[in-house]
Amino acid sequence: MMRRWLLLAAALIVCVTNVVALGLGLLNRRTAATDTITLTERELKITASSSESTATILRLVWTSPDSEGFPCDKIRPLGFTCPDRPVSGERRVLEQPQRNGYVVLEYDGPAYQLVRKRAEALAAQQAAENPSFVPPAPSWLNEQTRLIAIDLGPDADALRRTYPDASRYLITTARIGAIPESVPDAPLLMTLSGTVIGVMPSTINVPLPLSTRLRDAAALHVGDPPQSWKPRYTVTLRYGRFLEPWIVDVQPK
Amino acid sequence: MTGVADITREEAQARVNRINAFRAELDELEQRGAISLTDEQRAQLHDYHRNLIATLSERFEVDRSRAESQLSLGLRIVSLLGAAACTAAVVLFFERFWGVLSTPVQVAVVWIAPLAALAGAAATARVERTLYFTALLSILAFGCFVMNVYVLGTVLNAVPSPRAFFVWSAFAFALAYTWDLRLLLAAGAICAITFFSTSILSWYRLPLDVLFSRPESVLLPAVLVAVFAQAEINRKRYGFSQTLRLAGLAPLCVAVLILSESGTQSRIPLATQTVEHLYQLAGFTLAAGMLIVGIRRRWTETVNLGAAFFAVLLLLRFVAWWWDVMPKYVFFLIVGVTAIGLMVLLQRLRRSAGAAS
Repeated sequence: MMRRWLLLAAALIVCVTNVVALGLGLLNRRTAATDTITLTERELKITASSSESTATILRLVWTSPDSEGFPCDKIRPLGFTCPDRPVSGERRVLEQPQRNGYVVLEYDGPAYQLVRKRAEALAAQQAAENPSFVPPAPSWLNEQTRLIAIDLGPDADALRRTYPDASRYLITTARIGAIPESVPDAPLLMTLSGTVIGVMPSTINVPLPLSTRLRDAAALHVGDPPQSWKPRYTVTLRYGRFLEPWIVDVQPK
Repeated sequence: MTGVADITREEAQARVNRINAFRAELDELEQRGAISLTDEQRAQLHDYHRNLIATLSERFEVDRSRAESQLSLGLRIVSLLGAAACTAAVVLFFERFWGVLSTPVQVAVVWIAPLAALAGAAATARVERTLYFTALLSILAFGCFVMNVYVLGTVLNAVPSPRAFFVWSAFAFALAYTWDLRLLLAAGAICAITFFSTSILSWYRLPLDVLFSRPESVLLPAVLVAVFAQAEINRKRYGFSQTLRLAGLAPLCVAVLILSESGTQSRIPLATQTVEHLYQLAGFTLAAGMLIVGIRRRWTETVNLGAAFFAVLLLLRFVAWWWDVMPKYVFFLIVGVTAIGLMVLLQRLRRSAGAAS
């Protein structure tokens, strides 16, 4: 008798888990804002989970502004202990575990222009300093992502109020780290700055029939030379109530 | 036949083992002339044992000889390997055809898979008494349920959550208590510990995989699992108390070991070195406690784990104190002498435990 109840309980656990997960998924999508963001192949690259997998998965590609971490007042609300003054050798302050928070990724905005200018300036400087330096093909910058991490915080709603344009500012869950940085002119002293380690989810599942359209689009221009590389598709994303995204449209370019 | 009405398969096997040992010892005693039975007595005893073994064998499919017992061990190993292979096959098969299935079909397939394996386990449990195939199908059901939750998370692009460990734990426990499966019991206990510790981490806004950087979150759930091992429900089942004690104490030892070596990973607001010293002290106390309680209560697995933990703690302390300040041969000589000292101590404890029994 006891065995029968336990078996029933096991079957119920499976069913309730599926119903609750699907219900939460539905709630995430039903109560979502209607705004969408349209990204290209530069920001959403097709990735394979294994050689035998037939799943179509897109990886969200983003970047941070070069050599600029987020200041202490941005990472303290996430729970990091950030010293007011530089410290030396305090391992518990300098070696803190990563924390969860929310990040704002700006799409094709001023932050990207800055990153692009810096990359071009760096390439020009290297070419000037070293005559044997082979500059990268001009097209390489056109393949880079235009999603730049510009802000972070512990409250997604507060961030959305600051950045209301959902078609330009993508807000998602992220892992934030506190990185020790040495102070100029005082190499023994260290301070902390925040950096985005990764976003969650970092990959997005592409369901049928959108996956067929995406693979067809990705099959185009395969033989094109790198100089004339252009994104082959655009993907329209929507983020739900729990910041879980889904794909609403795929268009070949 | 009296005395076999309400016993478990493990108790029946223990009875058969005792009978075989008794027969061998009786033969030896008769050969040496220490005892002499009449033909009638010998025949009576032989008939009684033969009937008892036949009854137990028919009811529980117990191993009647050493050869059968060795084959059973082989069956258990093959059953485990078979379960692992079948689970891998199901996962890879699904991955291979994922792309050609629509989302509703994907969800339906991963939903039905654990239920189908569960139904298979229930059906085989009705026709077999040794439960080898039931164990295989139960492990497969657990593997399918893990895949089920993972696939749902992927389809919905969900953020990782500790709740997954909760449902995996509940499912594994339900199967373990249905058919007395120790492997699934251990899986359930580990998932339960992971659920509680990752929930604590989530509360502090820490990512789930920071578990090893914040081992203090493991301490309380691991102790609770070790305490739960003593519950009546586990003592009635063969090997459940031992399995749960190991599943609780092993993560507890690992957590204390990490904290004793790296105090920066502690939340205790004290200087790093003080925290490390506190956990070193706690580690030695825990190891000593495991040895003392284990010997008193004859918990072999606890004694073995306690001894191993004590040895690792001691070795790490020796390395910290002396590795850099003395020639390596002296260092290893000290380690060797300490090991001999420990052996003498454990031998004395063993003798006193033997005398007490």
